[in-house]
Amino acid sequence: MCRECGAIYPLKLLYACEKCFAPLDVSYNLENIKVTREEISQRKKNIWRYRELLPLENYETAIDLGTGLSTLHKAENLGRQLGLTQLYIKDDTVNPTNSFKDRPASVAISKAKEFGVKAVGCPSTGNLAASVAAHSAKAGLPCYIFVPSDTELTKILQASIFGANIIPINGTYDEANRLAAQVAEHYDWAFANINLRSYYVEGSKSIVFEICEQLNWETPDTIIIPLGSGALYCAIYRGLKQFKKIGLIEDKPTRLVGAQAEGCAPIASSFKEGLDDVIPIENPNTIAKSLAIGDPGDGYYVLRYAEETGGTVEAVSDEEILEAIKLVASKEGIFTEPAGGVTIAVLKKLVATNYFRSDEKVVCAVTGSGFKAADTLVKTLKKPFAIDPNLNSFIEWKENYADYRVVFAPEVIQNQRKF
Amino acid sequence: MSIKILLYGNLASIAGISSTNIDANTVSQLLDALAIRYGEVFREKLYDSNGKPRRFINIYVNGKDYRFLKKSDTEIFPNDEVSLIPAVSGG
Repeated sequence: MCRECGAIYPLKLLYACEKCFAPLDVSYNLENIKVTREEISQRKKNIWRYRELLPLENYETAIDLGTGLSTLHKAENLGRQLGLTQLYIKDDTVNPTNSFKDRPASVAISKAKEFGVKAVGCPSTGNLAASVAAHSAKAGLPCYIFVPSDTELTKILQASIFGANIIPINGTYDEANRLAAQVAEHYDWAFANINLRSYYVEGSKSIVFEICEQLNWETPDTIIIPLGSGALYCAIYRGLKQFKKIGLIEDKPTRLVGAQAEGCAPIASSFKEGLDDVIPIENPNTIAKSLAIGDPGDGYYVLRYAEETGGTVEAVSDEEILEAIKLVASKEGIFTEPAGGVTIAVLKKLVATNYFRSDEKVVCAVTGSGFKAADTLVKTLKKPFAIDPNLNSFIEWKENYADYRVVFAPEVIQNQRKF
Repeated sequence: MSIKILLYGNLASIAGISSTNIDANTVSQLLDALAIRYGEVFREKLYDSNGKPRRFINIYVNGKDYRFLKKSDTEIFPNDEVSLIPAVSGG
């Protein structure tokens, strides 16, 4: 169904409304969905436990690598430091390819298989590349991935190992996106976030279904979500609505907070200026490369939903992102890529403005592993030094360097402003 | 002045072609000329109810998003290439 004009289409490969070109969403007959909490809790621990709200004809044929039911940490150490008694971190670094993108990719490639397509692919900032590549390998489908040429090598390595064709583009993500759209149309291939997009985004809803279930079926008060295109934010918005509509959670408000990096903050800037549409930026420049989308496709809707839910959209600097990565690692044992650092940095920033009640349920989405951005993060490392293998050397080290930390030396950060 | 136009998605379906040439000095003139050539249904797809190019159609002049140029007032020259592509909604 068209998000703007309401036009209805059968389930097929289609990436925009044929009447007005607006995005299409899968619609469900929610009145007829009668699944209970108990039934869901007895199902397999993957995203298909929410099968009634996912768009596959037969979930038993799903391309499943075991995605879903990732850990919801109660972040007691970080919460204590920030004065929040119910702070949670949804840790999607533990998915099969180490990011939340396994959720939408599993649904998209399953749907592609159901449609009987010849090949699949996607444009990507890196995380989706690995995920689509892994799922297409499992599905036995050729895969074509378009990435900006400055994409982290670790992400390219990960996608390559699954056998995908990697096409680096001399340009931004937005330019890779445009070329991929043309290729998909020219060859009649199925691209996850293009002509499979309506199905793809459905997979992302599972993150909020899990959050609710893991909170013992309680509705969170606030969720902080990193924003690239804004698709995850919109999926969480729709997922909450659907869970409320079918009675699985209480119908109470949840503030949705969007988090961007200052080097690519078109949505945050437009929100702050009170605009009703996003002004794209041409050249994103941030260490949070997975969020470096200058023309966010769902930005327009994030502005609407942030207003509607009483949420906000904030941006943080690269220095704040690196500090946040270190903070969540040292307090909670979670190693996030910069996108998760954006989420935690925005949390910190909002705490400083008294945005939260101390006892409200706040959930931060950490959407990808730090190892996936290793070649970005490694530039900020202070090189560790070695000691001689004897006790005296260790004692000397302990007396003189006990506070020494390897990660993110400030003077190194200053020298790495251009990533 | 002949400008090369590339159409994608439903715009190509309605026009019945994916590539054509047209004379125009600005993006605005080019869109008007396309609307005249391909008729009322095409015009409705191209413009919203306020007569502006629809927000879900991206326009590129020689590969550059026209919003980073002078939008509808962007000048175009012989042998320039203009692409009209339904916006991709992220992911």
